[in-house]
Amino acid sequence: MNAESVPVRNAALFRSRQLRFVEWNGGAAPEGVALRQGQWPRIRAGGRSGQPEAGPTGIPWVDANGWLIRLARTEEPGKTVWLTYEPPTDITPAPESYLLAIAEAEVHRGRWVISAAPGKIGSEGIVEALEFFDAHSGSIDWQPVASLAILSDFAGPNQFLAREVLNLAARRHLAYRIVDRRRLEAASFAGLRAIAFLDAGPPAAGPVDDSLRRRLMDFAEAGGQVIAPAGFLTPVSGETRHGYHVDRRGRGEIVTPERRWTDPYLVVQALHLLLGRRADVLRLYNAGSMTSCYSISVDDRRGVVEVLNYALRPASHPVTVALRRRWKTARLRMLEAPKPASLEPVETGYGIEIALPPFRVYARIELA
Amino acid sequence: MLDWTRRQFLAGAAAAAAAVPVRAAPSATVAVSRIRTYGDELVSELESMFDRLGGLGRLVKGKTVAIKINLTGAPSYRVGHSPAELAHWTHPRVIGATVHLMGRAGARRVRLLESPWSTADPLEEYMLEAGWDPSDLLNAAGRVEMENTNWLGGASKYSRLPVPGGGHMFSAFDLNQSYEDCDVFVSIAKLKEHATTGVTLSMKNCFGITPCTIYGEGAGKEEPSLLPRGGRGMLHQGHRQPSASAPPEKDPASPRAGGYRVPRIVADLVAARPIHLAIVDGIESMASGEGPWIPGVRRNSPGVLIAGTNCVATDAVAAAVMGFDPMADRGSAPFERCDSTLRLAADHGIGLRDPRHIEVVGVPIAKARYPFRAP
Repeated sequence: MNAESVPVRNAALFRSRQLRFVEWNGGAAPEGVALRQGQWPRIRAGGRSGQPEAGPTGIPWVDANGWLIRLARTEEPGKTVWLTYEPPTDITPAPESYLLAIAEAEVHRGRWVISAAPGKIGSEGIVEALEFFDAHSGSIDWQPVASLAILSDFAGPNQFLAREVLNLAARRHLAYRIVDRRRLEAASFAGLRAIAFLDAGPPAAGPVDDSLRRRLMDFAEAGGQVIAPAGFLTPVSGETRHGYHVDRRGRGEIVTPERRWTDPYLVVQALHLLLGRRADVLRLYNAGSMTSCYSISVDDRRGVVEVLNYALRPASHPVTVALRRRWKTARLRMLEAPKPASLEPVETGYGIEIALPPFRVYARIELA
Repeated sequence: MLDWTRRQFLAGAAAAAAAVPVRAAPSATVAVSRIRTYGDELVSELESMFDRLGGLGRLVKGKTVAIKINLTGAPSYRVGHSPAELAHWTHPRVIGATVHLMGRAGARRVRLLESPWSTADPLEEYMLEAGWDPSDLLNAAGRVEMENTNWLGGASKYSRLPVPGGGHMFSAFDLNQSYEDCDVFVSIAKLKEHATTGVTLSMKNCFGITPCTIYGEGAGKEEPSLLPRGGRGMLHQGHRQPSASAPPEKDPASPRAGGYRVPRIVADLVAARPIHLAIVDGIESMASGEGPWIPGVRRNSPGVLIAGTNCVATDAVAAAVMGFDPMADRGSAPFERCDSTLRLAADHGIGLRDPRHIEVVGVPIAKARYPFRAP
């Protein structure tokens, strides 16, 4: 067993020329693997009607794992993340939902420990999907395209707020990099416009926290925006914006909330406002039940936007992807039509727009 | 088939006046223009229309002008791949051209108002999300501001605007102060059908002046909520009352159906907050509903602009351009399942929907007609 294998709960069901399946039914993480529980990806149905639940924005609540895989990769760099959840027992998942579970993990460079009960979905469909991602996934070292970094230790008293911000920011397609404050020395802030430092309180005195404070101050001095918890500094300017104190620091600014953070939804909303929509690196239209992942090659010459559709059926109106960077070419791959198709990027005032055809589960736009 | 021309309108009006005594009401002039695109000719075309209505200067010179625009639904919604302004939102070029002309006509201050879906975010951010650049509008005249009126905003209290005569459903509304703090009120709407009210034009656009902190799903029971959440289901279905701090419905036992309630509430709103200039953007639009969330909607290109200083008359002409009879009422298109907002507003004495009392200037309706429904 190794991290490159495809983990399944019943290896006897699966055969592939390209892939090696390994059986894993619990126990310690194999070498090179970081285990996380995760949850069955879906639009959450609830309430008396059984209709999808809506969050406060009116868009449906989605149980998603992308943020969890990304966080695990940050916390345990170099390891492959396996999600160990099993299919739900309260519903009969649609066959496409197994493909979504696979796609969601693959998009974020993780693996779902495949748990497909015989009769629920043919193993052929699963193997085809896995071979698709084996052939077309970007490299593990591609980087997320983002203007914002979310910085925390994501643990202890900071766990709820910081993790939920990752989840909710992904839902509104607010692109971010994750920075683990325990690995701060390895983190680069290059290319970022803002850093949201989401720990509950300001850094305490001590060599580690002094280093953190210094790096954040340096980032602001160089023109960046630091969004920090109340008490990070004593506001002196008297300037406020969207319920936050704003203090100039060099060519940038330090922004701290007038009231202590409690509701992650409001924090994410404020982060997006403070950063400003002009800083969006991508926008999606008609993608209310979808999440996205936008990453770029190390040499900065190729990009990919991957879109996951948790509704498992084409949207009533097709999705348009808008990107600030004006890529010249775009090529589409979908699980239901793996043969690539050329798409035409259309120039707009914001950047470019790319019109996608209807898709059920997964669309991948390769950019150059 | 409706086939009114200016001459026929005037002839009809004269004949009607001779035959049947009609209730005294303002006669009105409505300007109609054929225009295919949102190109450079838009400014001169709008200017001609305003001139035919008597000129903007007499209306806005030295005044604070508030303009309610229509940005219905979330900015991430589109009909197909079309940007919102080519289907269900008023186009920024129509807004920008109007603002520019108002600045030239001497408006002291122009304020763009809207209550965007479920948010207290600044309008500028909302527009950016849709792909607009708000700077284009903010720079269209000397002093242009934007205000999200879905909540209290920067004011210290809501403004209470009474409905003259008492209203069909509400005797008064508590609104963002921007709707009181203006000398001139303009509604720039889109030429569309509407699932609840048959058509949505300059009057229905004003349904969105109600703050969801008081009239929305997340409104506080006693006091307005701090932030707006959700839509205006309470106004549609009447399953609850506005925050107790605001005037309640006059008759909570009245029908709860949206087709009864919403037209009456709209008529009350335009009585409480009179419209001085109504502009309907029908250059590019959509049919079969007011937004992408309505099943079966499709894009269309009516290629028409309509403007008037009386909102009832303007909407009557707009309805006629869409191929509907503005005198129709419940049971007839486009009001198959609702009462006519045109009739209810006319009942308030706001204006006349009868084409015989409307002078159409510019392009006759017959030449501007773009039927929204197949014959």
